Amino acid sequence: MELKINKLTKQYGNKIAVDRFSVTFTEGINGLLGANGSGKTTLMRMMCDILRPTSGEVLLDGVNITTLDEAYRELLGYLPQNFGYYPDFSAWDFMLYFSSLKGLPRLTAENRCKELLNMVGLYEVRKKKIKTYSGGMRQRLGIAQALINDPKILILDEPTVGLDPKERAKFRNIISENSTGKIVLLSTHIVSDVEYIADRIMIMKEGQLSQQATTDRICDSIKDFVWSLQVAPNDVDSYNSNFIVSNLKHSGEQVELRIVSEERPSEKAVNVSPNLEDLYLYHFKGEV
Amino acid sequence: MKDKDRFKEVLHQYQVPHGREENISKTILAGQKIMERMTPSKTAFSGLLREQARYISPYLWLTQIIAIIMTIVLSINLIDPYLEVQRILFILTPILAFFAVPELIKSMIYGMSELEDTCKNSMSKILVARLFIIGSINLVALTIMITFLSIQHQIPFTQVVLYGLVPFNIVNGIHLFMLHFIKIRSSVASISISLCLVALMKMLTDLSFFIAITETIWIVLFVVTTVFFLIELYYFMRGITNKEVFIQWN
Repeated sequence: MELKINKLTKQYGNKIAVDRFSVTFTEGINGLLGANGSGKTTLMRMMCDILRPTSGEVLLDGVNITTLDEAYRELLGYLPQNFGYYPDFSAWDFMLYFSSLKGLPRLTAENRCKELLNMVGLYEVRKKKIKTYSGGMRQRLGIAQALINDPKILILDEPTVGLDPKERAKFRNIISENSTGKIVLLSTHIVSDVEYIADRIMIMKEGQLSQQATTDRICDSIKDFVWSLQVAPNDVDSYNSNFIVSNLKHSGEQVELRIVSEERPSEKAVNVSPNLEDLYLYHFKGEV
Repeated sequence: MKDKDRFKEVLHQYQVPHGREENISKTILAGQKIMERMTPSKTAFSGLLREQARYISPYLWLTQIIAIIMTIVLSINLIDPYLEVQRILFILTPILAFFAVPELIKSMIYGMSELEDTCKNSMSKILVARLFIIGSINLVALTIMITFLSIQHQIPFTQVVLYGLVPFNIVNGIHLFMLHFIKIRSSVASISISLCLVALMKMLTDLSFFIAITETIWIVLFVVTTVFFLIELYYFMRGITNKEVFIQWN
């Protein structure tokens, strides 16, 4: 299965939200990193066919998804950044409702909903109204909803918002366990969401694909740009204003800085291995 | 049990040669390819109607019952049946239609449209199904009210139909018209519009020209309001296919 994004563009008046974005997805987990306003949500909406592109196309195995219509949506699972719920719905009602919209027969739907609610830890509270749920619980419900039809294409827009570290770890495990034979695209600001589970990472900036590579190679582009340096506490402000400081740690009387910079910040600076967070800060330094 | 044993006996009579490994693998791969091929399976519209009907708000049903009961109660001992039947229908039809448009657009009000639009049965199908269900419920209730009033006060059925459909068209048409300008995101806003329409229709019955409406003018009003309602319905349905509208609404 191959999902091809071909020069996808979305323009609102003079603003270009997505700019000739081209990429090909095959099975595996793909992470999409980008700052707020970089176009991730717009891109995902076009991939889900809920927003018409200004130009370009999305092809599944060579066929435009607008042509496929219902056949494409049958394969799709989507979790938007924000979603609502009908006020009287419990989690069980919500899941059964979407099961019916996704075309599952009633008995199959009940079994599937039970399985998914158990997986996300909401089965015990399935009869409670969603309005009583915390943000994290609602997010878990959204993830369960996205998996109802066992989608072959799973698109998750900032799925870990509102989840605590334990829940985020659980989420990563759920995605990893459910990603075999699927195309998974997951957008996030939180690099740890993708660092451990993504096969490939893409950086999106100002509507364009800035960089893409496998997870183990994506940081190669900045391997000479990350530095470790011990400075006096009085000098910290100066480094903060002149460089991107990705980490700051007090170590006795000195302060250990981790700096992302193309130029060596100081003669005492030592080059260190970059991580995904450094890469994110390097690309989005203007927004930091 | 006896039959099961007999079948086992019959089956064991024949030796099935074991297939070659490569043929078995080929068969499995071919089967997998066929299963993965996208064969569109359309949901029957009747199935979608059944499912959507399950999720229609009970308040919608309640308003139909209230409107019917009030029709019966208010139509007792009428002094001027022709005029008072008109007034009754003008006042009660907005109650009948109170939750019609809010129920139709509830996906947008409650922020569910983005999720629903990515399901196999898309937003447009869901809205058509809801329109069919809500329209049917309203029209059945209205028919009951009209039939009762027509029989009770011996007014020609076709005449009472005009008295009922004119306010029905006005109320629903205005409600849909307002969606051009306001992207309603709260149930309170939606219900407020319905309340205003109830008050508006009541006010119309108090105006002096209401008494003076002749049968010809009723027919003209019926045609004009039906066209107005159908135009608004057309623009609403056209808006469904405009995906920008949903995203902005959400």
